[in-house]
Amino acid sequence: LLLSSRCSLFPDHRSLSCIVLAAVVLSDRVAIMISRRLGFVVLALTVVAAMLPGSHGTAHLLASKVILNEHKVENKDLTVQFSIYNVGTSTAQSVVLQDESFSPSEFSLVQGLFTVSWERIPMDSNVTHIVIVRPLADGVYNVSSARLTYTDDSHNTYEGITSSPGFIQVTPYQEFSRRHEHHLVDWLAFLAMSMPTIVFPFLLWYKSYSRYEKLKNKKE
Amino acid sequence: MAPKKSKTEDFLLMETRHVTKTASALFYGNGFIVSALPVWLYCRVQMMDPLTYVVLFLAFTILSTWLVATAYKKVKIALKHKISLKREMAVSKEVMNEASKKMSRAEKDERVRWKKNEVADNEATRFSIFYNNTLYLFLVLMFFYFWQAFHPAINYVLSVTLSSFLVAFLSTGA
Repeated sequence: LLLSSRCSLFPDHRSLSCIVLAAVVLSDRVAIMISRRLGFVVLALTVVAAMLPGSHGTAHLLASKVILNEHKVENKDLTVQFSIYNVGTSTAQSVVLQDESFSPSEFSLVQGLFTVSWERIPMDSNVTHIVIVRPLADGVYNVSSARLTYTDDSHNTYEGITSSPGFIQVTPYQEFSRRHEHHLVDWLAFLAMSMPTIVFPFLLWYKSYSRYEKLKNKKE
Repeated sequence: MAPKKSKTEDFLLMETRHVTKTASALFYGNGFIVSALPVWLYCRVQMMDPLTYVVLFLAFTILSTWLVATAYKKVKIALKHKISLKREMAVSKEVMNEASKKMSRAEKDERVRWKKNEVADNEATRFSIFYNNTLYLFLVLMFFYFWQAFHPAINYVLSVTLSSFLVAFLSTGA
């Protein structure tokens, strides 16, 4: 009975279960030889050890969602990066990432997809996905997590969420431009417009001044 | 001879205080151009919407125009007399060279006086415009950065008002 119950627990890991079974049988024999109580203790320990996750190989995905821009500005591109890391011991399959935190009335999609899937993500590897959006107006927005679903080798489906950037402040374009843009062309244009108001009067004055100074020096 | 000299001096002093209509128009025209330049700067760099602030821009441009034109006049009046004394000999020489031998002494003197007045008037006008424009634009740029932490509208009002008042004030001591 004990053997059959153990086989049903580990349907896909026959070699490992055989080793475990052998150990259990041996331990049972030893228990019979020494005492029944000791055998049961060893049996219990074996079952517990077999049920630890590492020894089964499950996929475990960690996902982050980050806004790469330092300044979030109205009508300027906002880059959102999704990173998914498989820290488990088996390949994650049918990975689907779905983000519904950017409402079409508040953000326009410039590039990328909000729903994306990967056939598999091997263990100890990662994937990155970029989406570029544009805030349509200034204000405070709550950027929540994206949803992640995947299956492992055992066809178990897992659901999770990414990290969340939280509340973001989108600055009005005028404010950003006033504080951060260099306006080099505007300054050059201002210089070009103001120079005639200084240079022309100076040249006209200097023309008369130099003429009469020459006359005066010539006379002397 | 002495009374004649004093009459000439009196005449020059009287003329230096007088600003013709042409000169006045020139001063107000230049003053308006120089006062309008900061408007463009604040619209482009400080991102002030011209339609939203049109009343503010008009009001302070007019104020600045009047103050800058006043500064032009004062500096011109102060300089004209000094320039006419400096140019006396050179202008006399020029007129004497150009005048015909048939001209009487009085006519020559009159011509010298007229020419001297014209040269002094022109030089004083041009120098006054150059000096006040340079000073005004320098002050506007200085205050533009000084009041940068303030709201753009407050920055504009303070910069333009202080610059034009300072230019007008400094012209009284010229």
